Amino acid sequence: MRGVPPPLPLGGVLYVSVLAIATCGLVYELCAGALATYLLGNSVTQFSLVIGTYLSAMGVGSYLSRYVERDLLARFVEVEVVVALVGGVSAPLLFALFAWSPAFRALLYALVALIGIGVGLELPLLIRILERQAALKDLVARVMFLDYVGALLASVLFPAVLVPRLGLLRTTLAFGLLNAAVALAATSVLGEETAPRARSRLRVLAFGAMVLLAGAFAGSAAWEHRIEADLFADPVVLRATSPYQHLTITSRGGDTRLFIDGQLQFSTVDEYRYHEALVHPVMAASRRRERVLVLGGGDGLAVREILRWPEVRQVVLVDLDPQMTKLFSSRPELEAINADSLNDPRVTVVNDDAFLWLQQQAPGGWDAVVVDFPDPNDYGLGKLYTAQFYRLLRRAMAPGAAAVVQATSPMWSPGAYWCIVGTVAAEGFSVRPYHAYVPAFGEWGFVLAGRDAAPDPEAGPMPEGLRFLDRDVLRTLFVFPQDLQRGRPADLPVNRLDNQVLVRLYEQDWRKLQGYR
Amino acid sequence: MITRRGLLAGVLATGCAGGERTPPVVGEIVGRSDAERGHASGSGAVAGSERVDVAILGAGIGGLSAAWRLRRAGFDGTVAHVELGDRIGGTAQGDGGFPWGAHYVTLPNPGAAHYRAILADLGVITGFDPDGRPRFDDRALCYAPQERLWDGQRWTEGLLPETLAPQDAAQVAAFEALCRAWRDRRGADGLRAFDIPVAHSSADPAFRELARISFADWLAAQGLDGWAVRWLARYAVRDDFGSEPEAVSAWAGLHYHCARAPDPAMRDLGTQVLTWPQGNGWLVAALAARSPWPVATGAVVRQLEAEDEQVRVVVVQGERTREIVARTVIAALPSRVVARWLPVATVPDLAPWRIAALHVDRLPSGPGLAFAWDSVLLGARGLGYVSNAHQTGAFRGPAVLTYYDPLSGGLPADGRRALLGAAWADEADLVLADLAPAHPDLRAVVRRVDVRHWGHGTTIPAVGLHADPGWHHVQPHPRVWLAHTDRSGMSLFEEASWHGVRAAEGALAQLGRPPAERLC
Repeated sequence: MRGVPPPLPLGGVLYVSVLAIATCGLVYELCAGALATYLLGNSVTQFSLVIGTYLSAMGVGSYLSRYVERDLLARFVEVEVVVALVGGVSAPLLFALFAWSPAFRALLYALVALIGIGVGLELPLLIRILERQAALKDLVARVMFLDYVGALLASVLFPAVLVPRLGLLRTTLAFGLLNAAVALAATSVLGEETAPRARSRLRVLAFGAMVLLAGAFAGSAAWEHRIEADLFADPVVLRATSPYQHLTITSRGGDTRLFIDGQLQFSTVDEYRYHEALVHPVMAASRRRERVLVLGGGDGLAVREILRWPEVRQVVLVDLDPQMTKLFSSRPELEAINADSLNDPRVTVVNDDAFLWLQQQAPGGWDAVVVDFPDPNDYGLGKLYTAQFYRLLRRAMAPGAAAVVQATSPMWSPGAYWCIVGTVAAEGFSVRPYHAYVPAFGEWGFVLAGRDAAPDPEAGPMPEGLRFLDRDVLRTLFVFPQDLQRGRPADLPVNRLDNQVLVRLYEQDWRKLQGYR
Repeated sequence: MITRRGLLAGVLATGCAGGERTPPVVGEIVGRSDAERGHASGSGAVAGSERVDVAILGAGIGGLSAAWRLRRAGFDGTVAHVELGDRIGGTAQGDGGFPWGAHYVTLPNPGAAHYRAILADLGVITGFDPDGRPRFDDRALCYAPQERLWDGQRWTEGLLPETLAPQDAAQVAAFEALCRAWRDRRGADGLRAFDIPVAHSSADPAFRELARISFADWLAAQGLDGWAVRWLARYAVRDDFGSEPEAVSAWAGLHYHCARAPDPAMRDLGTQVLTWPQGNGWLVAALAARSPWPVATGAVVRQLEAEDEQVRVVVVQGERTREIVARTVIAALPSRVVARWLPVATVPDLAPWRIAALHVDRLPSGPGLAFAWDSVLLGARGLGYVSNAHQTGAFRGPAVLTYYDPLSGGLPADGRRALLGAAWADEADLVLADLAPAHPDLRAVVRRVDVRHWGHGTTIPAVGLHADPGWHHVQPHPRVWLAHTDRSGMSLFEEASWHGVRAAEGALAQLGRPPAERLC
C-alpha cells in the first residue's frame, strides 16, 4: 500500500474527527436515501437524487469555506454541532414530516442539502487548520485517505450492523451523538485565537447537542414502534391524515391498496370479490331496491356495485371522514377504481357519525342497507357493531328490506364474527351468515339480515358484468365448512354499548393468531 | 411533569392543525350569586302570607324526591316549593347538557324500594324479568369504556395501571377479597353490614366500631400500605365524599366498596352504573317534570318558626319577603342550615369542591386509550373529568368535560375560604395546568372554561358519625321533616331520595293521608 501517511502527529484529535465526519456524513446520506425509498418507493430514483443532492451540496459547502477567514477552529466546532443536530434528527424528522406535511419531498432534499453543505465546509476548514502542522502533500494525503476510509466504514456498517441493530431512527441519532462528541473533543485543541469565553460557549454548545441527541435516542424506542406500524410493503402513492384516521394508498404494478390506520381495506387485485359478495346478496334479497343506504364504505366501491342494479334511484353514503370521500370522488386514479360512483347523480355523500346520523332518521325509509365499517379494533368502531346500533338500523329500514354487515373473518377472528352475528340477531333481524374468499384478506365473513323474514338472496337475479358472483357461487357462500363453524359458541354474546365485548373478542382473536403465526 | 413523548405528540398535533394560533380561553365563575344569596343577612318587612299544607324547602334531590312522593300518593293538598339557587337540582344539576356535580347513580340494591320505584317511574327501569331482575333502559347503562387512568405515560382502561408490581397487585387482590367478604356479611339484626340506603345497614355494634377509626388507620391495620391500594382507597373517598382516608371513618370507606350489591342475578352487569350526558341533571329534570308544584327559585329561607299546629317560614325572593305558613315542612336543606332555627343533634360538615366545565371542540388527545366516560388522573390535584359526549354515543366530537377537584387537602372551612376570593383566570389556569400533562393539545381544543365552586358540596362521613346507628333519625320538631342527604352522612342520589321520600311519607301521615304503600 503505497502512499500511506506516517503515524498521526499531535493534531490526532482532528484527524480522528476527519474519519468520524466522513462516516457520519455518509451515514446520514444513506439513511435519507433508504428513507426516501421506504416512503416514496423507486430506490434507483431516490438514491440517485439523494446522493446527487448530497454531493453537490458538499461542493457548495467547500466553496463557501473560502468566506470563513478567522477563528477557523471555532467555526469548525460550530459547523460540527449544526451537522450533528441536523443529521442526528434527520431520520425522526423525516418520518414525522412525511406523516404530517405535504411538502415532504422538498423538505427531504433541503435537509440532505443542509447536511451536505455542512460536511462540505468541514474538510477545507480542517485542511486549513492543520496546514501549519504538515506539508500540504502529506496533509492532503492523510485527510483524503481518512475521508475515504470513513466512507468505506459507513457503507459497510450501514447495511450489516446499523440498520438491523439500530434501525434508521436510532442510527442517525447515534451518529449525531458521535458528531457532537467530535465537536466537543475539538474544543480541547482550540488555540489562543479563541477567547476563553468563546471557548466555554462552544463547549456548552457541543455538550448541549450531545444531551439533546442522547435524550432523543433514549426516547426513540416508542417512536420507532409507532412508525413501524406505518411502514408498508409497497410504495406509498398517497397519504392523508384526517382528524379521524390515517389513510394510506400504496401502488405496485396493477395493485393499488388502501390502508386505514395501517389496516388493509382493499387491494384492486381482488376487491371485486369482496364488494360483489358484500353488495349483491343483500340487493337480491331486498323486496325493493330504490333507496339504498351505505354506512361506511367511503371508497365508493360498494356504491359502484349498487349502481349495477337498474332499479336504484337513490343511494346515500354516510362516512365519518370527509377526507376519504373527497379523495375517492376527486382523484382520477381513485375514481378509476370506483367507476366514479361517488359523483353519480343518484348518490349523495353525507359525512357524519353513522350512529348519530341513524338516530335522526325517520323510520322505515330504506329498501336495502350495506354496513361496511373497518374492523372493530377500538371502542370508537366497536359502537358501530352494537345492539343499540342495529336497533337504530332496523328502525330505519322499510318492510321487506335487508341489510348486510361486514363482520370480520370467521376464520381468523371467529369470536368476533359470531358475536356480530349474535348481536344482529338479538335485535330482531332474521340473520343468514355467509362468507367469501378474498385473497388479500383470506376467508371473510358477512351477515345478511332481513328486517322481517329470513332474507333470500336467490330471490332476485344477479346483475350483469360481475366477475366473481353468479347464482351457483352465491349458493356456496352460505355453506359453512366445519372449520368455519368451529369458533361458533353455543350462546352468541351480544355486543352492547355498555359492555363492548366485541372489541375485546376481536383483540383476543388477533392476539391468538399472532401466537401461532 | 410533561413527558417528552407527550410534548412531541402535542407539537405534531398542533403542527397538523396548520400552525394556527391558539385562541384565548374565555369563561367565568358561575353560581356565585347562589352563594352570596345564601350568606346574605338582609331583612325586609314581611309582605304577604301564604297558607299551604306542605312547604318543601330545597329543590335538590331530597326536595324533588319528596315532591315526587307526594304526587305519587295522589296528594291534592297545597304545596309550596322553594329553592335557594337560580336553578333546581343542587349539586346534581346539569341543565347545560353536562353535569355540574353528581353524574351517576348505582344499580338499585334489592331492598331499595324507594329507589326502584323512582327508576321505574322515570323509565330507567323498563320492566322486570319473571325472577324480579330489573331491566334497564340501555341508553342509561354507562357505555364502555367506563374509566381510563392517566398513569403519567399513557391512558389505560380501568382505575389501576396496567402493570403493577407483584406486591401491589397482591395487596389490591387482598383488599378486594376483604371487600367481597364484607359485602356478604350480616349483623345480629340480620341486616347487611353496609347497604344502600345507609339506613338499611346493620346496627350491629361490632360493625359500628368501624365508624370510630379512620379509613386510613383501618387500612394500615390490615397491612394494606402499598401505594396501589392506598390510591384506590383515596380516590374513592375523594370521589364520593370530597375528603381523605384520614378524615373519614373506616365504616364509610368500606361502605363505598361493599354496599353496592345488586341482585345476584345482576352480577353480570358488574360495577355498572347508570348515567346520562347531563349526569344526574337528567334525573333532576325528570323528577321536576313529574311534579305538579312549580319551584320558586332564588328564594332564601330567612326564618323558620315551628309552632304546635303550623310552621312559619319567612322567604326572601329578590326584593320580596313573604311568609309561608305550612301545616308541615319538608326541610330538604343541609342540617347546618336547619340548625339555625331548630335543635339538630348531629350536623355533618360538607366538603368544598372546585368544578370546571371545559368546552372543547374535540376530545383532547393523549397516548393510549382515546376516550372513556370518566378520565382519572394519577398524580393530579383533581380527580379527572367526565365527558358529556360519551353517553350520547358520539364518544369523540365536541364535548363538555366536567372536571372535579375536591379541596380535601386541609380543613373544609379553609378550602371554602380559598374558593371565595378566587379569580376566574387563576382558576382556569389551575384546571388547565392540572390536565396538561395528559393532554398536550388541551389548550388548542378548549374554547371555554367555566368554574363553579360548591362551598358545601358533599357530606363528609367523619370518624364517629356512623357509630350510632340511630343518629340520622332526628326530627327537630314534630312538624319538620329533615330530607337532606347529609342525614345519611354521605351525598348520594340513593340517600337523598330516601330521605325525601321518607319525609314525604311522614308528612302525608301527619296530614291524615298515610300512603297505601310505604317505600321507606
